[in-house]
Formats: sequence, structure tokens, C-alpha cells
Amino acid sequence: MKELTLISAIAALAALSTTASANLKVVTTTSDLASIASAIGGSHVSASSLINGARDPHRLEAKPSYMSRAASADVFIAVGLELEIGYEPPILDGSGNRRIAVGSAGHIYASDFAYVLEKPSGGVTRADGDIHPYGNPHVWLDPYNGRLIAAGIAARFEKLDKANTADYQSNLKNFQNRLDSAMFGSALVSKFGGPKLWQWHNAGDLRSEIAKAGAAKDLGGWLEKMLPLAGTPIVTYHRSLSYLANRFKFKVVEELEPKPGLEPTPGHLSSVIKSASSDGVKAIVQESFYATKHAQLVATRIGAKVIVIPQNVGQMPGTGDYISLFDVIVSKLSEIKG
Amino acid sequence: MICILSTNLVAALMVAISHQQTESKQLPGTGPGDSTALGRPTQANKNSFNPQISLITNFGAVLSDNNPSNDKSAGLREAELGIAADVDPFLKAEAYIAFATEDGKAIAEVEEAFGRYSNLGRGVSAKFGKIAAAIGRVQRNHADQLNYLEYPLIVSDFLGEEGLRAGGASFGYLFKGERFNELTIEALDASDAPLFAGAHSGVPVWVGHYRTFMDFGENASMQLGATYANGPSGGGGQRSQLWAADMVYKWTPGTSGKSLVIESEAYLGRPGFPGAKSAFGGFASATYQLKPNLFGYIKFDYSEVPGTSNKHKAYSLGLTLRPTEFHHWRVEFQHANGNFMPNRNALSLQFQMAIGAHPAHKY
Repeated sequence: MKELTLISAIAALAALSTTASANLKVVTTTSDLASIASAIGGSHVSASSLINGARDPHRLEAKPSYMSRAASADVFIAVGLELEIGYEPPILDGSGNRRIAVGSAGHIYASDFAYVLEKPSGGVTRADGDIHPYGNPHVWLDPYNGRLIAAGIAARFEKLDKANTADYQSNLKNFQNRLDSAMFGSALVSKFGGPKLWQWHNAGDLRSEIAKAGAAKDLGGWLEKMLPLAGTPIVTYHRSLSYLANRFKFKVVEELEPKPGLEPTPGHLSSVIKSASSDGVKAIVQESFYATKHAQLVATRIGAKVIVIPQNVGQMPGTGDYISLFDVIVSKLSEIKG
Repeated sequence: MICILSTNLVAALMVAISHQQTESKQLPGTGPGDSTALGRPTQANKNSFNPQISLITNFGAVLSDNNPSNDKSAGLREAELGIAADVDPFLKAEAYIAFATEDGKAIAEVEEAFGRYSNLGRGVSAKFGKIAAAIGRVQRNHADQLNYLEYPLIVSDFLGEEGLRAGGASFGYLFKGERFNELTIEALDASDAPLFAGAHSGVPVWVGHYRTFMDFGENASMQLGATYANGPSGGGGQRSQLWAADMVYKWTPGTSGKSLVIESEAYLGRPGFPGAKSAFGGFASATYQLKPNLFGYIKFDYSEVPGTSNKHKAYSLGLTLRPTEFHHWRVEFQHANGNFMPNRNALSLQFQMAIGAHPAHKY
């Protein structure tokens, strides 16, 4: 049944990519970006992603079929921050498509529109592992960044397809409103509007502001579900949940990887077990494309749960679009306290 | 584009490689206008005018019951320095310079150095300079990109020790459509290739290569290619011909830490000089990912040396430990025999490391 749901989700995404009357053909690296582009573009855009299913976005190969798909694209959207450094350049070069060359109007780095965490303050070397020198690239795992990325994509669509500017603006408003409601609950959004709520939340004032306004009981959505997790220490596999942790205020105390991109080693796992135990870690949270044996080992030793979450749209049942991706992530993370 | 260059020799050169950093946005506050507030690009100017540089160093050691060459049993095999940069908005340049020791002398050789127009429009691209000929698939890769220790026998017998790299021009055409189909036509001065030896006639060797690519769902794919090359050989106006077929199949599920790569190529060469017989050769290999960082492989080689009655075979079995994509250890056992050489059993060890520009994840 789960498999059928997943297939349906992928089929739905694929259907989005085959709109016959689309004005702009969009190819993205990750499925999240395709989902956002579809939401903003509506019937004027056909969007599809190169990466589908449970696959680590760091490790893709530049398959020739990706070049063919990029060859006919009007817009190419990558996350950026060197997440796709191993395969984006050969795909763009192999496509021979001037419209999507880096720096052209048809090329977008979504992270250009996002706030960026963990930007190294000093020099970096590969002794630090497979580190990203411009910051952590997993920007889409904060819904606020999804909001910013959607706005950036809408602006670019408007530039490339001026005739449909009103539709792109309307779709953007709808997308952001759905996202805001999913985050804070529709009652709160209808009282204060999404932008004000994000502003308060970014400043750490949300709960006091809504309490002041007598609207504390209206808090809903992902934020309400994640409130009990605030301050909860967890261990992750890769340094990929920083944005999620930043938004929902849980604390990543260790990673199973000794350094980014390296397989867990017995010595490092032993160290993780010690520190996780002393920190009172209740869960090991990791993406679905990593093997769970290391997490299971640590979890067994410290009496914690292993929580497997999707990182991208389509990676697990029920993650058919960007907003439902967070529905599933929040639901899975809620199991930590359950 | 990231070019990966291999090399080594001058490790100190790479110390200078550093990442330029750009300012990123802090977590922004939002206001009424945030729905249209776009982030300031943080990556558009990340690259300086300095080229991307990489250095790949390859050390090796071999234990053999019959060493047919004068090679050292252990030492630096090759260091390859790669440099790549945009020349201007139209042209990109790449150069690969190999350093090695041959017969006790240090040598440096330009393996490739070319300019590439990747966006000429209508699916056309072009390269000019010294390039790897579009013959088959595996010989176009640099030695550091191989899944096994050495190039297949057919490469050295037909095209030269590390494949055919020659001066000339290459034009590629990517057919329209969702399926990848590409045609490459080249004109090369291939006088160093054994099959086209001595072809200093001013007449180019013509190479045509066609390849098509198929996805079988998200986890499996295959590329098929066909090559025809025709060019002068010797000084008497004779022409040699080469037909080749290449295939690679990959199974790469995203979740299991396993993968399988099957490669095979076959060459049929017809040397141009009078009385020479056609020569046939080929190889097949399978590389299986046993663990996320451990790969096992087998390879079978057979080759008839063009222009002679010599033929030989090799059976190889190896393991590659790849802790990261920037270095690996490889051990290979090979049994080789032929009608012009005694049987040979060899156990080889390879250590390879790369610094500098991030390697491209080529298919």
C-alpha cells in the first residue's frame, strides 16, 4: 500500500511535468524545487526534477539523459551552494543550452534567495570532509526558505514570461498562504497574516506576541506539533537537518558521520554513544537513503528511537509536494515524544 | 564546469588552492513586502578569474613472476595536473599535463589541451586542440577515472598506451528529443596511434562516433556507442580503418550502498599496409559495489596486435577501497598470456589521490 502511495505521488509529480500548453519548460535538480516551480508556474510551466525517489542529492552522476532533458529547458533550477557540484557543470555543458547557462536568466540557484547557515568563517580544506565552503546547502528544509525560494522563482518566471505575471503572482500568494497556514495554522494566519507571523517567529517573539493579542490558542500547524520538541537533543546522520532544527528549535548534538561525507566509523560511533548518552538524546534522525544499521546500533546502546524522515519530495509515501513533505517530516519527528 | 585534472608531482602547487568566500544572508526578518523580497545572489561571483586546478597522483607497486617491461616495481606512475577556466563568454579551456618517469627520465606530456564551445546552438558543440579521440568510451577517460588498474589491452594495442590523444577538431551534435543521442565527428592528426602509425601525410584521420542512452527507471541505465575511424597509415597513401562498439550498463539504486557497472568494448582494425590482416580485440568488465566504500571487479581482455600475428589475453580481479571520492587504494591480480610472451602473473597495488577542483561525477 505504501508503495502504491509513493508511486501515485511520483506519478502526480510526473503529471505536473507534462502540461501540454506550458510556456516554460523547467528542469530542476531536486524534486522539492520542481514542486515549488509547479506551484508557482501552474499551467504555464512544466516542471520536472532530475532526482526522484530516495537518492542522496550529493551523489548523482551526470547521466547523458539529464543533458537531453536540460537541452530543451527554458529554466534550470539547482539548489546551489555546491550541493550539485559533481554533476551540474557537466549536465549544463553537455546540454549545449545557452538559455540555462550559469548567469543567464534561465538559470537559478535557489539558495540565492534563501538564508544560509553554517557558512565557514575561516578557510576550509577537505580535511574537514566533503564540506560546502559557501554554507550548508540543505536550505529547503526550512519552510521559510521555501517561501523565499518560491518568491525568487516567481520573479524569474515573470521576467521570462511577462504575459503571465498576474498568474505567477497569484500562484505565489496561494502557495505562501498554504505554506503559512500549514506552519502556523489557518486561524492565526487569518488574524495576523503570514509575513507578520514569520517575522515574529524569526525574531523569537511569536508566542509572546500572539499571547499579547489573546490568540495563543489559535496556534496550530507544524509549529504547534513541534513545540514539545523545542530543545530536544537529537543525533542526525549527515549535517543536513540544520535548517529544520533552526526552525523548530531542536538541538542536533552529533552526527553519525565523523565528518561530512564520510562513512560512520566504529571509533566515532563509540564517541557518539558517549556524548549522546550524556546529552539525553532520545532519537537518531536520518534520511531514508542512508542505511539504518549505524543508527540502530547507537539507538540500542542509548535507548533512543531511530526516526527515518524524507529529505525530498517523493522520498516517502505522502510526500507528493513541498508542503506535504513537511507534513510527513513533522509527523515523523512527533514520534520522538510519542 | 568542473574539470578534473589529474596529476601530482607538484603538491606544493595545490596548497595555494583556496575557496573564495562570499557573504551570505543572515536569517532575514519578514515584512509586508517579503513575498517579493528576493535574496541577493550569493554564488554568482564565487569564482575568481583564477582557473580551477586539480592534481591527481598515482603511485603503484607490482609483484610479478615475469616483468616484461623495464618499469620500476614501485613508485610514482603518473601525476596529472588539470587546469580549466572560462576563456570568455563563448569558450572554455581545459588542459591536462601528465608527469611521469620513463626509462629513468622525468617526462612531461600534454595529454589534452583544448578550447571548447559548448553552446554553439542547435545542439552543436566543438573542441579544438589536442583532444581524446571519440573512439569507444573507456579510452576517452583519463587513467584516474578507470574502474580498474590499467586501460584494456585493445587501447594500447590499437591506439597507444593511454589511448589516442591527438591534435585536431571535434564537432558534436546532440539530437533533439528526450532520449540522448549524440553524433561526434573529428579530424585528427593521429600519427602516434599504432593503427595509424607513420601517418604524417597531412591528411587527417576521420573519426565518427554515435552514442545513445537509455534509462530503465531511476536505478538502471545503459549507453551504447559505435565508432568508425579511417585514416592514412604509413607513407604510401594507404589507409587504415577501425570499427568499434562500446557498451556500459549501470545499476545504481539510491538507498542500498550497492551498485553494478558492466562495461564492454570491441575493436576491429584493418591496417592499411599491404598484406596486413584484420585485428580484433575487446574487453568486458563488471564492477560491483560491495560496501559504500569498497568495490570488487573482474575484467577479461583479448587483443590481436594490429599489423602482426601477435595476440594476448588477460584476466584481472581487483578490489578498490575508496574512503572518499578524492583518494583510493586498489589491489589487482592479473594473469596474462599470449603467443609472443611468457605467461605472467602480477599482483599490483595502486594508491591514487586528488586535490583541488571537485571531480565531476561523469557517467
